[in-house]
Amino acid sequence: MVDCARIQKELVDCNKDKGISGISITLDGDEFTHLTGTITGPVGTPYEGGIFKIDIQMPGEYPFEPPKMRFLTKVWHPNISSQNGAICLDILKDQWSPALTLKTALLSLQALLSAPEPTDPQDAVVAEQYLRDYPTFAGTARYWTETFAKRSSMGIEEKVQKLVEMGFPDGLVRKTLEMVGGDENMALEKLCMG
Amino acid sequence: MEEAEQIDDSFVCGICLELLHKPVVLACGHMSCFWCAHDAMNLRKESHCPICRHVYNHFPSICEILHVLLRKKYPITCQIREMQLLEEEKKRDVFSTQLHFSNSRINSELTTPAVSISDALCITCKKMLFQPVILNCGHAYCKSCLAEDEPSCQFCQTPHPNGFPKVCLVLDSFFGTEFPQEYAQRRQDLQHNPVRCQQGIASLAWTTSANQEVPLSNIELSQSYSASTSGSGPYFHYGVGCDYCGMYPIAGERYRCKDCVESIGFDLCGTCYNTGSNSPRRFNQQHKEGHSFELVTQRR
Repeated sequence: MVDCARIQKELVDCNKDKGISGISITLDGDEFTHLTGTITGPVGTPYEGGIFKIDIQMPGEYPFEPPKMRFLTKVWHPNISSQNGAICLDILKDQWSPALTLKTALLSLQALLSAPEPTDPQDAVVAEQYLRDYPTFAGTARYWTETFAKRSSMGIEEKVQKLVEMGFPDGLVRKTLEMVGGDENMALEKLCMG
Repeated sequence: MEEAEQIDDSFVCGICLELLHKPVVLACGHMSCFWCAHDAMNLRKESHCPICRHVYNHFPSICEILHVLLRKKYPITCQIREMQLLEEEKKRDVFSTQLHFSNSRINSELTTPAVSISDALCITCKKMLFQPVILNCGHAYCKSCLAEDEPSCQFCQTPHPNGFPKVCLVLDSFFGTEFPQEYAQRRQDLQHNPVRCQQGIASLAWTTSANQEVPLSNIELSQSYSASTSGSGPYFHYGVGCDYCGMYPIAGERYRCKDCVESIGFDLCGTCYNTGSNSPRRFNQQHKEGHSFELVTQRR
């Protein structure tokens, strides 16, 4: 049984000051088992200006078990898988404490974007590049932020039109785009898979 | 709720984010609800305070002083919480300690609605608690009123495990703001006349009768648990706690009551079995003196 009362409180508390923290959480559907978090990329990093969506699955034992978090927005970062968004962060694993909240966990993800730990990588390719050739790493990370984490770079209507022109139905395109957080490439991938 | 009380953040449980209910205080001075603390403990090895990660391995008893304070300060919320808890406990079929307020002082004070100094007295000096520390048995003392080397409770004779507890800062600042004059007076008194009370003798008596178990420091605690997983050191009884001293999980000898019928059972660690302590039952078991025990040995 998920502790709905606590999650409800967390949502209210987190969304109260999202203007300052740059962190917000929304419910996916009516169930308290699936949520989406949003964090802004920290200033002064290759992630600056990006808006990153995080998929949150709540285990039944929450808050005694950590929430399962995964980046929905593609990120180029040593501790985040460039393939599936899996995150390597101790507080989401054995260092979780029930006094932590979704907001503090998302704050930690924001901090992780500021301070990568390439010696304890999730994505070996990215980590290797980070250690060997930092300028190239920073360039790639910035490019990924521009491409995947900025909705302003292309309006949603433009993306819809582009995908509709490829032959997908309008309704499905909108739904799919919403599902992947507005990422055009991911939407296309999903649409092609059917 | 129609009449929502504004709960002070410091009295909100860090785990359920509600008003603390039947609060327990860890040796690091951090508080949580009885069940929140219980569910946050590690079944297989040492536990960490959810707030500061301080290592511990004894489930504390409910802190009655804090419970009474909260009941007086937030009567409506407490009542709601009480009813919710009862429903949950029925579902679990396990009940938290029922507080009978055996201490008549507290009992009489419950009839007066406002928080008064008599709700906040140290068991040793009978004055308002100054820099309060809460022992694992839930009883409160001034920091200066406890024997430094090995604190044990004068009221219930329960030894406090793993060294000297830290001051409960939330209670300390609460008393400071609620009773500023008395608090200042207490501070002044102690500066002029620093008393280390005579309790040292009492605790010494306990150690000579039951010195089988040497208190463990944090590092020793973690080491002893990791030793057990590697095969050396004492055996740990997965998910079973001692109903007297609160050790959880029980290390080494475990005695199980054969006559208690509650689903959670009734167990003692070797030390408590041999010394026959008389702390209150943690899960309200109807354990009686005549019940017989069996020694549970390690299962391989």
